[in-house]
Amino acid sequence: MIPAVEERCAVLEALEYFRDFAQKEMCGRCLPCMLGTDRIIWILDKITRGEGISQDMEFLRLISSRVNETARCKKGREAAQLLSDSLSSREREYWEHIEEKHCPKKSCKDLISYRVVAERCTRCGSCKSICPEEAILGDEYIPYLADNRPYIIMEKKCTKCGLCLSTCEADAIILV
Amino acid sequence: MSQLITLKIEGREVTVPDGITIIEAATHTGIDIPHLCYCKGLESTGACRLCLVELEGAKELVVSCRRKVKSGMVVRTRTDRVLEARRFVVELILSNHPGDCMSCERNGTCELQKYAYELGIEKTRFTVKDLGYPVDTSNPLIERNYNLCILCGRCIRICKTQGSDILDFMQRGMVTKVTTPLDKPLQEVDCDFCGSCVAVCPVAALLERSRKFRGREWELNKTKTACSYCGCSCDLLINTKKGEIVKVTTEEKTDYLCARGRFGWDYVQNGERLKVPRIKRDGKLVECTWDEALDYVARRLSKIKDTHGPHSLGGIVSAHHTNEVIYLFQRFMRACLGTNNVDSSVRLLSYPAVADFIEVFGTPDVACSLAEIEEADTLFIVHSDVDMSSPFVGVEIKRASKREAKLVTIDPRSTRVAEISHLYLRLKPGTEAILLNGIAHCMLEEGLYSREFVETKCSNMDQFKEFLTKQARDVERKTGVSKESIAKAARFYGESDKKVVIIFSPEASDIQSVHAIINLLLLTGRVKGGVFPYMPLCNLRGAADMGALSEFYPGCKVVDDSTTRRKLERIYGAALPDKPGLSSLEMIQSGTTISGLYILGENPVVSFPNTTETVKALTSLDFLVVQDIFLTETAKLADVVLPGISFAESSGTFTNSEGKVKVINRAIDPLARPDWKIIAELSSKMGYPLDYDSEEKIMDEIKTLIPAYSGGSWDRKERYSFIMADMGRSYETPDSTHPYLLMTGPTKFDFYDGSRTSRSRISQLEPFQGEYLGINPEDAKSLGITEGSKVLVSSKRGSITVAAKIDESLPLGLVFMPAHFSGSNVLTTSDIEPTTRTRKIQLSAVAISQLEEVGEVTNE
Repeated sequence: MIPAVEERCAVLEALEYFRDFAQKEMCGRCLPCMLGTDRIIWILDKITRGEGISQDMEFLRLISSRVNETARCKKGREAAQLLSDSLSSREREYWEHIEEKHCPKKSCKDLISYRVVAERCTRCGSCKSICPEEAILGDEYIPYLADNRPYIIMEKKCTKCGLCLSTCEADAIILV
Repeated sequence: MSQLITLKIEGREVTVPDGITIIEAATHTGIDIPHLCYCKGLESTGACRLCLVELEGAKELVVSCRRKVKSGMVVRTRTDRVLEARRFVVELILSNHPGDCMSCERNGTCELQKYAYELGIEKTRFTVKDLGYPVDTSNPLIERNYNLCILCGRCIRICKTQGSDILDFMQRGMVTKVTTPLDKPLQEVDCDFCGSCVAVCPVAALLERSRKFRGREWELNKTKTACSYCGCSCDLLINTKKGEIVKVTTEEKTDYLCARGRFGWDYVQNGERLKVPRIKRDGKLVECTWDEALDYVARRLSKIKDTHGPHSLGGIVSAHHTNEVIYLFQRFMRACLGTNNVDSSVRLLSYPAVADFIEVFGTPDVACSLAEIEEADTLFIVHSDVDMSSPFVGVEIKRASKREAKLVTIDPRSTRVAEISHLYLRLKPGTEAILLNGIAHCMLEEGLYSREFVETKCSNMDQFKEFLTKQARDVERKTGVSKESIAKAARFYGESDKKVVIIFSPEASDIQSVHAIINLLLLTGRVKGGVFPYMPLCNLRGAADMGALSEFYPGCKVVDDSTTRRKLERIYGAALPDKPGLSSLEMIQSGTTISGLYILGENPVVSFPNTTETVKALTSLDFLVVQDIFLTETAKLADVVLPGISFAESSGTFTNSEGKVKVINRAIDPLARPDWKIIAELSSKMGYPLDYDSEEKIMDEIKTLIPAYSGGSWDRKERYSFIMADMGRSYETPDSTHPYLLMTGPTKFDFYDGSRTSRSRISQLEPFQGEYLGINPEDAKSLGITEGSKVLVSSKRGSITVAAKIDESLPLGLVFMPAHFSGSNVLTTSDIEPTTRTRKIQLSAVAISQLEEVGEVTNE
């Protein structure tokens, strides 16, 4: 569950577009489109996971422009053109993913983490009970008990499903 | 001839025929446009995008393998834009292709490597991915490594056109893979193993297993020769390294070879090859010197000739030898030994057809060419086991059918050819002649014949009409084919102005059906190019031409003809016998008058009917000399065994089913002595020197005797007469004790007497080691037989135990057994038909019973 934002993350949008394209429109009858799409998906996926390197931008530009030239049909070319456009109009976003390992739209799961803001937390415990991964540690607030721990989210266990975020009534869980 | 047009490629004016593609036009002028998915001879798909070119006036790059040329077109093949696009494609492909070129078999001929080099790509800029597919080495012939596959789709296209259509793309995107139904190994999905896919693969994804680490392309010597298996005798290139065969290829990548041709050569290098002669001493064959062996043979043959007369000697030559060897053999038998008891595989495999052709047309040269089959409008296929017997004919039939030719199949078995036919007449086994006569009768009734031809060229139409009326009685009941279907077939055949070819198996046909086929040819006047007998052995045509038949001299002249005899006597410098000799079947039967027999390459113990009788006759001979490359079942019975050579070591010629003379060239050094030298030396030792210094000299002599071999043509008759003979059934009538009819015949991966294929890897692909009984599922059910259960098959001659194989193509009551192992002929009968002196019975009656599972207890 990705939080609603005005504009979606450029990288993720492109990745989802190409995954969809590979599943539906792409016929696989010409090698550049077939291999190129696959390569694009591979690179975009890497970037969304924070494993992108600066060369990847060069590759994406190269593949999209060449596929646009060599692909057999209009659909393949259009897909490549969309990527070219995205690369030039929203270049900054791509770079942020690659260099800063940061998703400005906070959409790429691997580049974000969930955190409990202790000041706002009412320690109701609903986030802990809803977490399917048991990634939230902490105890409910019981008056006069001194050793109950505040809630924290263990990053390693967290799958970024967003359930805790939506269930928290105090807006104490944020994305960073 | 299509119109010529002019266009400009790379600034050069070129004139090419209209309707071809840009890439073809460029090749025409010597300009190479890179391509991976395009392959000459296959339909273009425009998949690899490597052949992109720039066209003046066009905004986008065009695919030159699909775009047709136009007059005034200006094509640029090497602009920066084009090169950049190509570089991208090759780099992309390389990113999914492990660059293990160091030990890759295709190094040097790999098309991907070639273009990477030409485009100056040292290394792909993209990260190379490992696809991690397991390499399939589960079959003995083809290695499939899809990690190297570049998805060009050539193998898929060629499998559709000339294979068994089992390959296709699976899934999409990066997980796309060329695969078989359910991704099963080739041997489980009815693959023909023709290896066409291997031949067209631009990389090493598909590879002959035989060549692995045994030599790279530039180390290989290629020798052009012809195949020595079936009668198509396709052109081969034998690839050798340091005197060892590594693989067999073809001149054009898309040329067809069957599994036997492409992979069945390894018997040549089998360790069991005989290299020194052997003489039987105290019941054991012991090695000896050539002089010892030849002196001994000469002495024994001379002694028999002196005491019992020349006609107590006989010779049988196999038709997989060259014309030169066969010719010399008959000269030796006739002139040196003085007997016409010389015969060959022709007797059992194609004699009825040869005899009828000579009788009716005056020449054995009646067959149309293989190319004509592809061009025909209608094909009549009598016995449709072409895929097994002569696979290339099967491919030509398939190509014709793709071209919308009509196929009419007459066969009790629903074979692959029958399945793609427009009209399939599934008749009762053994009633081919009756059905063909029924068709002829229907044509007469409906006036579907060439009146003009019959009236001017045929002499006995009236008798023929009477004969047919008699024959056509009860056709429906006897053959089990409906009147409507017969009429339909008659109309297909009777259509004038259409090219119709009758394709039949001379091996499986009895003499009456050959008569009936010839009568059909005469009725429609299709006396030239109207028939194609597919010979089951490479040089059957040649053997008949060379005179390796007891009633014919070279050139198919009858031995009773005194003019030919006098001419031959003059050339041979010896008196020749004037009476026809014994046929091969007559030589090897109980009560034979033969005392000394010389067998060259033939293996009667396996290939002759009634094995028990054959063995008895062979062991009762005074003297048996066998010349062969292996210690065959027959050679084991011999007094002397002389090691000959295989086709790969021979020079000479074959005459194939079409009548084309194919040149055989020596690819490797002989492992033993060339067969013609053995015969010549033996003859010299017997006081009749045969002085030839090479195979060419023998050919020169053949040319003087047979004009057709020196560019001339055969004498043909101008007037014909219908053949009428009713010789009764060609099958044993099944009765209550022996209720099933047994058909023996060729299989995909075994051949003739099995002496060569059983020593080749291809025989491993046969189910149950090639020893099985094919049976209809319902028959099997009623007998309680399942796939693989052991059954006892018995006839009046004997019985054998084999595994059962459920075969849906067989009709009820008909069972099938491969002919290539010493077993099936235990059941068959050697009854001789008196006019052709070959086997009379094609189908034997047998009984089948299931064996109790005994003694098969495993120790574990």
